[in-house]
Amino acid sequence: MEPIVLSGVSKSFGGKAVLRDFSAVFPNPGLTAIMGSSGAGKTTLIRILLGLIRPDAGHITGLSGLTPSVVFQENRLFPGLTALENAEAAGVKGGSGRYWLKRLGLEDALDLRPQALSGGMQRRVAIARALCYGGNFLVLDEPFKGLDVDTRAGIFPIFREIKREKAVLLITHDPEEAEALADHLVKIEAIPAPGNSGPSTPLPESR
Amino acid sequence: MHGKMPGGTPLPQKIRHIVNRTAPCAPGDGVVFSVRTGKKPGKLSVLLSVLFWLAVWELTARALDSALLLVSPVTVLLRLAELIRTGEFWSNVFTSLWRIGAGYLLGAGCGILCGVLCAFFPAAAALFSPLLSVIKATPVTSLVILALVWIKSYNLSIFICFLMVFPILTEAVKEGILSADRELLELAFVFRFPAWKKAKLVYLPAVRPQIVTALSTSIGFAWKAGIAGEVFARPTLGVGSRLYDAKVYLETPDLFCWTLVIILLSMAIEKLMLLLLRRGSRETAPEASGKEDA
Repeated sequence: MEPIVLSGVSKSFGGKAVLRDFSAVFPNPGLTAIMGSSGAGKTTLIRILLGLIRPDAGHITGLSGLTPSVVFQENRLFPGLTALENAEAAGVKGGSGRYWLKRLGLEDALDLRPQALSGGMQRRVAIARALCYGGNFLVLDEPFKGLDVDTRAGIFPIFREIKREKAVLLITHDPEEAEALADHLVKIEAIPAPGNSGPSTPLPESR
Repeated sequence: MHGKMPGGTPLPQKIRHIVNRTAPCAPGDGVVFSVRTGKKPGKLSVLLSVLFWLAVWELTARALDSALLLVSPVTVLLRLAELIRTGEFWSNVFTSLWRIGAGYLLGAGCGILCGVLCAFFPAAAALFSPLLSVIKATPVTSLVILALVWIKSYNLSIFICFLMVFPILTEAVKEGILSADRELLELAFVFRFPAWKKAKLVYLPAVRPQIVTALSTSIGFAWKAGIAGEVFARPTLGVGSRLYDAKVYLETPDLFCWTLVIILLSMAIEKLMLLLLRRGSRETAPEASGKEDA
């Protein structure tokens, strides 16, 4: 399948450049980890890829024909729906909510609403929703945030399976997570603020 | 790779101590200050204050000793007892209720529709904005007198109620839709939710509380404005028409009696509306909490 190729993508908000002339290739299928410090533009990049915002400049190819599915940085669950209903809210082309919630260790929480779930359980419901929906392009924005080490380790095999079939982008701050899952790694460097581009020059000592 | 957490290892003594100390906590434990809450007066104090004002009314009526200026509460109640036994009383009451109810429902329905239009189409919002401002700023009496030029007396109250409710619902629905959760809207966009699903899962939860508030506040306005409309328009049947007659023929006991009827009905309608809305929103709103975590 055709890889997703970004060339010279730029995006600014209120005059502040978040992405400048950014180019990268995301293999399809395959899992690419995107790493970078906070504010480096990782989330902006995936928002562009999901069609939520338009880049100011640059080209993106390889997205046509792709149906994206996403785990946002926030859980974004519907408070009025149970875990099962939330998991299936977007669609079930990728498998039933019952199946994915069970694989994510939530078989006892199917009928609970988000308020009754712990942070980690809510996170897994958000992951289940993205997996139920299916699609052929999976975007994960810090999907394991708030999950304990054992739970993470239990979920990793799911993504090792999935990355064989589709393009997966994983935003993470954890190098071990990237090492465990990713085939490729893309690092985004934060753009220095104007006037603060180099190391600061010490002021001359006053006499 | 990650080091495995020591599963099943007992907590060190120091940590166990802290856990035990913080675990049992009765409500009010360790409260160092209290917040003065707006406590509602008890039933007894409400009853006592009502009796107090009734006594003031009775004593003033006795002191004035003029049935034309002020009738005693006993006289009013006796007259009311006479009136409610007549079929005419109920015809007047039900006709008013029907007219005001029709205007209210019409205004609410059109208001909701207009609110949706204004939220999604800025051109509609711009178009309706001056109209809504004018309706809201115009006194009810001006609206009634103006409307009398065009509308038959029988239907006037329907129109007046419509005008009372329409802008309130329009703005409530518009605000509700515009306050819908941005994050959920993005989610609906990425997952390609069809319009009905977006309306049900994203917009409805945002709009529902706004509609409930608007419906419960506007029912009181609608009732009072509808009665005022009847007083001016004087249709054959209607509580407002009877109020006008009582004033014209100097039947002070009837004037008090019909006023009391208006107040009692207003209170009953507002209570009924709140009850219905509460029940309605309980049935459709998400439960406050799901089943407890097992």
